[in-house]
Amino acid sequence: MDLLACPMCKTFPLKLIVFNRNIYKREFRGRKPVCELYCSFLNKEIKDLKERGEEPPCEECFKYEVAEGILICPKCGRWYPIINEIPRMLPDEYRREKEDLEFLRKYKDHIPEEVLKRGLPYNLSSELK
Amino acid sequence: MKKFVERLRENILKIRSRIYMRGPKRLIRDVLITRHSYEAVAEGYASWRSRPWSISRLSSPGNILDLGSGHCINGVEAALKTNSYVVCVDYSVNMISIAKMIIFKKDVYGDYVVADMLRTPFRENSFNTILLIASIHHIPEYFIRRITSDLNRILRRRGLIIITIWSWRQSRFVFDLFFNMIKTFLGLLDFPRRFVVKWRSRRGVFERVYYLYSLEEISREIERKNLRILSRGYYSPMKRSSENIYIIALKD
Repeated sequence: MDLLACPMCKTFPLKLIVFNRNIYKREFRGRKPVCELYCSFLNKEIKDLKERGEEPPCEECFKYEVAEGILICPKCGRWYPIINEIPRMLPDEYRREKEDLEFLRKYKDHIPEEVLKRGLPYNLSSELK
Repeated sequence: MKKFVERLRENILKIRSRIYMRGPKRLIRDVLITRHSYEAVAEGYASWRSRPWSISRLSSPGNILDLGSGHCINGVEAALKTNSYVVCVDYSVNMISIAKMIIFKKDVYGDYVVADMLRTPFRENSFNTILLIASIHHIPEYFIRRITSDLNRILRRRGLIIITIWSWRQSRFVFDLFFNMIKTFLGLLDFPRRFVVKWRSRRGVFERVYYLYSLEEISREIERKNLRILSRGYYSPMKRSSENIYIIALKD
């Protein structure tokens, strides 16, 4: 999440909404903070955390993988699904309407109304009237 | 005679523009055909190309991006050798699913994303090394400049780009090259070194479209973005494998 930007408009950071997550027994190796600019676990910028003297919980974050979720671009309104722990950041021309709409329908209780009604490239506006 | 040839060429160009899809649309079709083939052959491809190429070990430590990674065997090797973090990116979901398994199996610190090389989903100054092992030759000439600009954007200062592509100087392409030259002269083809290579498997025959650039063409595009070429030339990554072009460039 510290590196991911919108493939279409390059906005960073993206908004992450987690539907399910998997927990792994993994040992944290490395220096803290792992992320340079943005900690998605706390939804805060690293420089803000440093200013307050807070430490990001990298050991805790390291245990989790987002199994199913959605990434939302706050600028252009595009959304990208995370399915089976894999973020699918494909541009519009590669997206499949049927699969995308199925994903939206499946998780519509977790997805913000803004994305359901006006999200790009596909949304459920016709079904939600 | 010269006038006759010119008139003939003009007429063929007119007919061609009516028959063929124009410009980028047709090129995107090439990219989609190749993507579909890699989706279909992912498992076979991963078992066939199971050993990493030694050139990937030249990566510098830090964040490594394996762009057009396939099952990411090269990115994983680079991360293991330099004790770094790797991000594997490919437009095939099946390939990235295999990459995910390899990352877990080898206990590498890494992530995996399904994305397109033409629109990378990364912020600027993200990576210390970008690997493009046998991937950029699937990109039509029309888009190459877009890719080099984007690489420059996401690469950090003092970062490395390692590129390999198939060399077009292979005996298997001689006949195709001859016919492609004629097609290009008649205006039926935009790029003479566009080759369709078939992958035969039990499930069928799948086509992959290759755009085999010369060393000079790729070097020119890299240098245009003010990346400094440290080394370039031809090499064969394995015994009996065909010749490849390689370029290693640095962002000053």
